[in-house]
Amino acid sequence: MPNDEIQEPLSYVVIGHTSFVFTSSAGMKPNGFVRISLVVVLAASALAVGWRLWAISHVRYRTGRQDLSYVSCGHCHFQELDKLPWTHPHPRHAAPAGLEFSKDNRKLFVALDDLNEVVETDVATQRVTRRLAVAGGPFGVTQDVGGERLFVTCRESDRVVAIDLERFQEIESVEVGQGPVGLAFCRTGSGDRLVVANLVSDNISILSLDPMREIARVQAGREPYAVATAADGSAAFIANRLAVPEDHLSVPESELTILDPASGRILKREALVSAHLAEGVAVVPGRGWSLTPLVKVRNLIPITQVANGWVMSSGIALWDHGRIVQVPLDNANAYFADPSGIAVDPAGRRAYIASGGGDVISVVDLEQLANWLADADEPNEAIEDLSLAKQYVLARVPTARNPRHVTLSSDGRTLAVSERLADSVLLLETESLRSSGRIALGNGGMDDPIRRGERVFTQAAHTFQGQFSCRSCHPDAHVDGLSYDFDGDGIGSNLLDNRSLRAIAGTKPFKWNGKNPTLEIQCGPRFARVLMRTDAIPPAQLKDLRAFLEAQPPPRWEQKHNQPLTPAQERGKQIFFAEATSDGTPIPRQRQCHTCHRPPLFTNRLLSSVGTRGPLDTTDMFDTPHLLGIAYSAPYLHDGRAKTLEELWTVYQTNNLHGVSSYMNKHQLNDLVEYLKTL
Amino acid sequence: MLHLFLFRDSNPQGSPAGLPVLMAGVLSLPAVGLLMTSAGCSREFPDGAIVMVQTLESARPADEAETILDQRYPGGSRLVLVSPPFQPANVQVLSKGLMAAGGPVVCPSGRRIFFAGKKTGSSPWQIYAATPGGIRPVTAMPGGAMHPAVLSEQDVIFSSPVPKLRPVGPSNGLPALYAQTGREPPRRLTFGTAAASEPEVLRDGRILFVAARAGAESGARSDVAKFTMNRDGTEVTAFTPDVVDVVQRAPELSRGRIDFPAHPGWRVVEAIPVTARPRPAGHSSSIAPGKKSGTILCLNANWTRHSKPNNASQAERVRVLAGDAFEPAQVLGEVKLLADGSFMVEVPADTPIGFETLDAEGRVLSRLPPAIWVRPGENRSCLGCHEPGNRSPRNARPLAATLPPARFSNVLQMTSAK
Repeated sequence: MPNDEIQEPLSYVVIGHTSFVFTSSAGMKPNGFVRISLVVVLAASALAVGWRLWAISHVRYRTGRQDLSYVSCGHCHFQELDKLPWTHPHPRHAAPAGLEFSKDNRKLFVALDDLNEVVETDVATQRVTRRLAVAGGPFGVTQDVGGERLFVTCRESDRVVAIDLERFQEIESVEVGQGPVGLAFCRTGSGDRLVVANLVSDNISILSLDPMREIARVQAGREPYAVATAADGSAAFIANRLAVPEDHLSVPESELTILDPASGRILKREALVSAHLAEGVAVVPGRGWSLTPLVKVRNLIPITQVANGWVMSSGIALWDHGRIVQVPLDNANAYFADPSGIAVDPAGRRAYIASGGGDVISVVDLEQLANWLADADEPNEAIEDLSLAKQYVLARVPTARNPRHVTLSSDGRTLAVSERLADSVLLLETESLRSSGRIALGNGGMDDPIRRGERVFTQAAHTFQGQFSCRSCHPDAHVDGLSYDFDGDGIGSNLLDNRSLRAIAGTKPFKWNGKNPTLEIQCGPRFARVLMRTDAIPPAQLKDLRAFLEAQPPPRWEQKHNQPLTPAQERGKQIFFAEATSDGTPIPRQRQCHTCHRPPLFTNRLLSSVGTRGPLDTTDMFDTPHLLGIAYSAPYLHDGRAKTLEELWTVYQTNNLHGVSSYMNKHQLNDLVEYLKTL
Repeated sequence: MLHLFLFRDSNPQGSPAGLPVLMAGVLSLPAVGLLMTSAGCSREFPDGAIVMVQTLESARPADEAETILDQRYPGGSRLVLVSPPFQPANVQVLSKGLMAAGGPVVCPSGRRIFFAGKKTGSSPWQIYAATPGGIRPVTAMPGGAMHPAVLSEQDVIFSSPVPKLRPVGPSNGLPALYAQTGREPPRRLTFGTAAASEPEVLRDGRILFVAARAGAESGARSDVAKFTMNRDGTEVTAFTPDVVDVVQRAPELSRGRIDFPAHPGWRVVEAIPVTARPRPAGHSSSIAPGKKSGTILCLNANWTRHSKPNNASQAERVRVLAGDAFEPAQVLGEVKLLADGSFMVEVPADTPIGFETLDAEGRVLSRLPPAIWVRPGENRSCLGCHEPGNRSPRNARPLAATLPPARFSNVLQMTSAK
């Protein structure tokens, strides 16, 4: 183009970072189209600026916060629960949960909680022979002494169902506490008993049989999960999964509850110090021991490294006539994460422990363990010695994905392992430790991104030396109730409560400081650097992981959703949405509960300062958590300092900054808490 | 026939470097064919190929050798690739054009071989990469480079400079480990006062290496120890093996024996199968390149290998030292232990750091000469001083973590001078 034909810019309009340049063609004056375009652009710009100013004004008015600038409408509007992935139906899978051999060892009964079925399988042919629909998420199984009835916990419907094994039909059921999972049968001097661990309501149901009836419900620790009974019916051992919240800077202790199954009377509450996630318990015949696989957690130590079990490791709690010794299950450079189910052979020679994150069955020689125990100088420090396990762990037998439950045939020759995320049951010959077959219950669900994401979530291979999985801190994608000190912002600063991953769809940003705009960023390279200390999860797997996480509903959503409120809950709701105190004094907008915890997610997804900054925090602005399922995610606040919802206002309220609560009396506060428990 | 026995040392303590090694032995002579081989799966090198280092039988004992590599691989040493069916016609010299070569390692893909070689008698040893298409130099390190270890196709770890046999002292240079990715400049990984050499990549992605005390004579057993670190030089830790099967090397040959036509006049000193193997795990670096210091948190300075907490002479303070290999340690400062024995200090990055625990009268109770380091921005923790290996910490909030790290004025000077 000749120089004299170079088009000079006629005018510039700058919108944001984009410059629109208008030129006349061949030196001619702007034509009508250009003029109109210019006017349109200028008008649009004016509208945009006006909109922005109005939006800022609107946000500041509605929130009462002058520190806020422009935020998108989606923080407060257009949130619809029925558009969230967790409200949608998702594919069901034949994931095996509890297992039980028939008395003649020819049949294996398997609970399939996701399919709402219990199946009978033939051990010889490794095929399903009968199916029974059992509503409510059948999970744990056990049978009576004669092998005539199978008892099944239904964790979603809060029932225990009895199945006649000859006809393979449900014959009776009884309501127990919330979320029953593990159960065990025993014969006592007062009659046959079932002991049932109710995960959600933190208690234990004692059932008598003939007819089945709940005769006692006693308080457990937090999240009782597994039950085992002594052969003589003198005691039942209940492993509790989480520590009861105490001071967030104190050593967490979960509970091994020991009770008399005849009456339900508590015999002892043993503390498993600095240990939790106990999902199995077994009694060792002939030794008077009980064994509880556990995660030895070290949440109080800054996470400057992962090596040497710095964050957590796996172990076994050995209860020996009143004393508890914790011993390691891992090796120094090889870890077997997420120990879960345990079975002990009838002779008390071996224990078999499933590691759900490591896809391994660890075989423990109990004779060797007893020998070590007899000679141990300082057994209380044993769990810290990662070179110890080789003295009593005989073998590590690989399995398919996510072994969780195990059971032994009555002759001790066959071990059945539920490979939960492979939809299969592995049968192991215990003498040779070789597979004698596998019962295929489903296809593994690899065509389902949610299922694939659950595999990522439970896979310890994504962490350094396979030390833990996402599930190790988020059992059932929920909380472990502990606070951790990540060192990304310096050692000792910003202790952080572990947040639930349930109902997080639509609640971005993530992390207490709100810095992660997506789950991919939250769980990807950042996590690899600060916690996993190995390769980041590959993008395709991250996508699946996100699908899994966004498919997780709040705890007990089905049971609570759309239920009528009690009068107390209704009063609490009025308080939650109150714009004035009881005497009519207006509550500033920024201090009204529903301003920040705005329905339907009960969060406006903004950072807020509610007067909770601690001495080690570097900021007073924290992400506003959603409140769906808040009743189940104690402790509370960003560092987990509040043990209960009540403590948010009775202990940790500062100048009415976290909602105006000073006007409430005890009853009003109780009502508010009752309402929060319905969310 | 030449019989090669290749096996993995099952006891890492047993080899001089404490590493599993492939060892070769010569038994008899006349040539025939193959008896057993490994199942190779390299796409570019022939399946089942073996890379070997041959030295001339006539090579003189290297009394006049200048470096340890000259001693091990005297002039004429060469790298050869032998392929099934292991006839003389299947032998290919990989190190053509080099005066000497040795120490091969195969990358996880099985498509590339790294080794040490030198062009002339006077040129330094460097790391070379060999493919079926030829060889190319990888490093150009002053003082030479040796002991390659491979993280991936393009990532190689090596030790530099190559120590001279005499004299021992500052002029000799202290070998350190470096990482190099492709043609990028090498990155130094180790900063201790001890020579760091013989790196090996563990399957968990860490680098296992051998360190000898500065100034000690090479090969002195009592002066050799094993350490691990991440591939960015962070988390240097004394290594206490528990499970021996942690090394991510090429597998040994099946059943351990192969018959190979002898090359008259040559002696085989090393042999490695050229096969693919799983890639070692990666590591997401936590280094903050802009920072010039790091932080060390000790959970209990009174926790040592020899004395359990609370039953030994109790230290009250810790003296923090910095130094280099051949100079007296510099005292950075002293920090008072908290009630639980913990302390936390900010120290200059990439600098040898040591500690002395002191009692109330200022007497030294235990000493770690400047030997460890932190990388820029690294937060490093330890259980105690000379704590037993393979120990997990007890779950307790260290008091030192509730306070800012101690800072010494000369740390500030050192970091600002960097």
